[in-house]
Amino acid sequence: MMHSTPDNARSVLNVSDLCVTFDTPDGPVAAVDGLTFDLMRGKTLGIVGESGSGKSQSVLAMLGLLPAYARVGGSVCFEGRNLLRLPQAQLAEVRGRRMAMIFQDPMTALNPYLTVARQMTEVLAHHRGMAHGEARRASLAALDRVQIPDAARRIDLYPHEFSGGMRQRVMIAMALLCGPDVLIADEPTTALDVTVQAQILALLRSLQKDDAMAMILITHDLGVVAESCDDVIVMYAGRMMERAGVYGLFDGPSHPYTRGLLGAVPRLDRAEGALHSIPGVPPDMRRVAPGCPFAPRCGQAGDRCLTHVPAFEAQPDGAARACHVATADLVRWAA
Amino acid sequence: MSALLTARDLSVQFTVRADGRKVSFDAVRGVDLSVSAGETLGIVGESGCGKSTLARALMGLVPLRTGSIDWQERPLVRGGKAVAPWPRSAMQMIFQDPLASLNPRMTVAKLIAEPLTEHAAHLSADEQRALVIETMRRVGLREDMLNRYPHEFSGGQCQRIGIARALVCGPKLLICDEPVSALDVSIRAQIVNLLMELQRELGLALVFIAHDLAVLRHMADRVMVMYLGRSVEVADKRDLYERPQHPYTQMLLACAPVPDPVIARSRRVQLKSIELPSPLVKLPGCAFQARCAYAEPQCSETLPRLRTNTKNRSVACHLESVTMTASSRDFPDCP
Amino acid sequence: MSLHAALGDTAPTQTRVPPAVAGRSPLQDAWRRFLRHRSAVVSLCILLVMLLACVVGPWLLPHRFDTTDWDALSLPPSWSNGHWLGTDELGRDVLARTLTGGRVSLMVGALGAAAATLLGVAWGATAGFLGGRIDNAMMRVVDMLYAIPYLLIAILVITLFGRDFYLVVLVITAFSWMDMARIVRGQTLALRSREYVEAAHAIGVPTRRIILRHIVPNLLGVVVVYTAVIVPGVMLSESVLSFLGLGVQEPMTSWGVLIQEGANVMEATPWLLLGPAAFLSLTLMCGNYLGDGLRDAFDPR
Repeated sequence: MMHSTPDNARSVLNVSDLCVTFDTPDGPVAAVDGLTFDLMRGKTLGIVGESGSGKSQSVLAMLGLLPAYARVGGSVCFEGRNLLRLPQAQLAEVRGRRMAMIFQDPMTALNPYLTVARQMTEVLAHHRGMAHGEARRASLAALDRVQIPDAARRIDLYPHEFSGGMRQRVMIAMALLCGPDVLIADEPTTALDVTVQAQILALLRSLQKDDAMAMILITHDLGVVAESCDDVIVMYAGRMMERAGVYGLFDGPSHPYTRGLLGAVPRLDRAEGALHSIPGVPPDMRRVAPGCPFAPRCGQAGDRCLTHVPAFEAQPDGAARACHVATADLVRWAA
Repeated sequence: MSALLTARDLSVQFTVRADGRKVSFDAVRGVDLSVSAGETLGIVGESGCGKSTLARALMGLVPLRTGSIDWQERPLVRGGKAVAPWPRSAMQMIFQDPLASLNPRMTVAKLIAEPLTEHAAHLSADEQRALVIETMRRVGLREDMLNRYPHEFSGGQCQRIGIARALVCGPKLLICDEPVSALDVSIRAQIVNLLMELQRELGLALVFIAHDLAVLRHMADRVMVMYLGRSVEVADKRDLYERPQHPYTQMLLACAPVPDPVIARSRRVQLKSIELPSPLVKLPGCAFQARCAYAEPQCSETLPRLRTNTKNRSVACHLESVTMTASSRDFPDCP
Repeated sequence: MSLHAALGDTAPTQTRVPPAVAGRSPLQDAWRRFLRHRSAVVSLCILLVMLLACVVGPWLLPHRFDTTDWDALSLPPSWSNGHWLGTDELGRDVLARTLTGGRVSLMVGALGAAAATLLGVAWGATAGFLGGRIDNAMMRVVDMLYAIPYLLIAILVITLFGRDFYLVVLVITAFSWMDMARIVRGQTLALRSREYVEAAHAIGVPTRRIILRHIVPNLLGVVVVYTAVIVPGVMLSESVLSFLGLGVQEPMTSWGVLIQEGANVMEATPWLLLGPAAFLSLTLMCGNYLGDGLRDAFDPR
């Protein structure tokens, strides 16, 4: 994926070997280990994984939003600067203005004591130095853009007076106020109903197209990935397992974990029968066994898998994966 | 196959404070359903449709405003009041949040044995313990977990404990309130397979509540679709998924995420951002008319009753046959 | 699809999972968290030493608390003559009196706190669980008690009925249980809507057993923490009453009584005040730190 891009596609964000370690009372826990990718302008990268995969921690680390007891290593290059080494003042400039984030639960991301108008105009006043009247006009325009009906009246309401889907739209509007180059969405639709989810995903797609914005979409839902993402990274226990274009990943996944996940998802259009489940449970990150983290649950793990961590390597078809088992030897994929 | 549980005209009323006044509304309105031994009835709907409340009403955990229930063809509830002792040992429930449904201060052994102490007190302590161990084995829990506490286990294991607790008395009906929604994808498949296997082995009837249509495709024999407290369509699984008749069912199917980029991107779901109407506002007519593409004047005047077309198929819609254009799966604009 | 394969945990690959951690009850978890709180652990040790000293000390010391010694009147603290905290105007050893007084103060603290806790938990849990009008009525009683000036009533009762040890405890208890009742009621309300209580209803567990098996054990955290806070409060109340001359009667003595006597002669013989005051202050301070530590142990958020 990275090696075959045409020259005119710029990469907006380059993440290299991102590592996040938490110092807990039970010892150091490596929540993220070796995350590497390039984010292209106008494209959506999906990071998919289950709980404990480190997907949320990785983006929080990129924006410097982790607590003090987290140690972050590697590099996150945005416009030639490593965000991880930037002093707080400059990072605050980037955050919100050039790189924005939306969260799963809008209620905790929005201040319940301030009206939406106040919160939005505050952002514009701070980041773009707008005067009050201008800021209000710009906020109304942003709310219209995310298709909130009757925005002129609604802008003066408090967050709890909006429904879940509307709140999420407000959050998207706030995130886009300063025209960021990168939008990070951490499970933006997980808490929403299916019909609202479809609307929000469609909205994000159209906004992205209009602004040629790059997006990182974090989710555990493979259906959301199939619908919205151009490239996908599959994470497990903090490590990258596979990285591929979305069509390639669903057509012929080259990692046992991805195959397992795809087999475990119930299909709306498929005949019935038992689901192919992945045996076992996700690992306890405090006691990490040597070797590939997925080996205890992998139906094809060999001896080498239990002792040596597989390196993340590019494949001839442009995808990349971390697995000792040769692609040709993987159990035949029945889509 | 005789019906195990039959319910007619169930209504559950809630009273809330809105704008300083006490307002009552029906969270469940006039729902009919029936479940036979060994079959799985799926109930699907979005938030606020009343499916969880319906589950609790069937378990006798919330008071009914109206309705009658027959258990094994004998009267259990008439006019909303119980006329016979509730068959607690024969009807059990599994909850959405696996960890929260287990008392954190009780060991696994005590938790699973609790129904026995209520309904099988004549058994000796040894007999009860043997039954507990046997049930644990059946759901895939190891015996060494007996003296440990819920917080030491993962979500999937906690759900297994909940299932063991529900099964230990040998019930005939299991009501599952979104039992896999809070679990990781790979664990979800394990639990779904487990439930299906147990149903086959033990001849259980299941009422499976979900917001995910895909899971019901695997599990259910018949599916009931709910919207704002009412049952809008009930059909056999094949009929519902291949030839959905109610506009809301069609909308749900069109919006449900599909883990296949080719299919997901080829369907275009055009939905205006219409909010879910508040259940506090009582409108005459069909609850769905505000979002329905096919709405006609009569839809806002009279309430469509649930009409049974053929055996096992009921739809609550004024329009005779609302068929979806199967090929492109477009969903027309809302008015 | 075999049953074996469907049951994830018993799949063949399970043998490669690292060995399980030993089981830990929530109580053991709380104990572990408590041990990490250094100030609380130190406070606990000091309190235990204090308890030991007050119970056993008076027998081990060379001087009795009520032995008057006309040759050793109002002596300042000294190492040589065995009066480590000095003597009072009747030649009685201050340290012995302080430790003996400690017995009474600590006993009042323990009894009073125990009674207040029992009453508060019973009242609060019942009100919280039953809810509705009964809850309203019970909590209004609590509100009324808050409004009554405690000291006035205490003075009235003790003046009328005499300075009996158990009466003092009763009066103090009567006005110390309301906080516990409010807190327990709040916690019970929260617990009532927990899913595991709902699950117990679904199983068919009768109400009485739900309260005993599901509600009360989960109140434990809140109750332990607040008991640790009530004890210093009760001891302080007793000291105030004693200071006003309404505490325990001779020959019994308590820290409050000693402080009152010591305050009268503060300028001439300050050690009579300093000894008991220091002991009381130390106990109260340790009690508060202990309460903090317990609160963090049971509620790590």
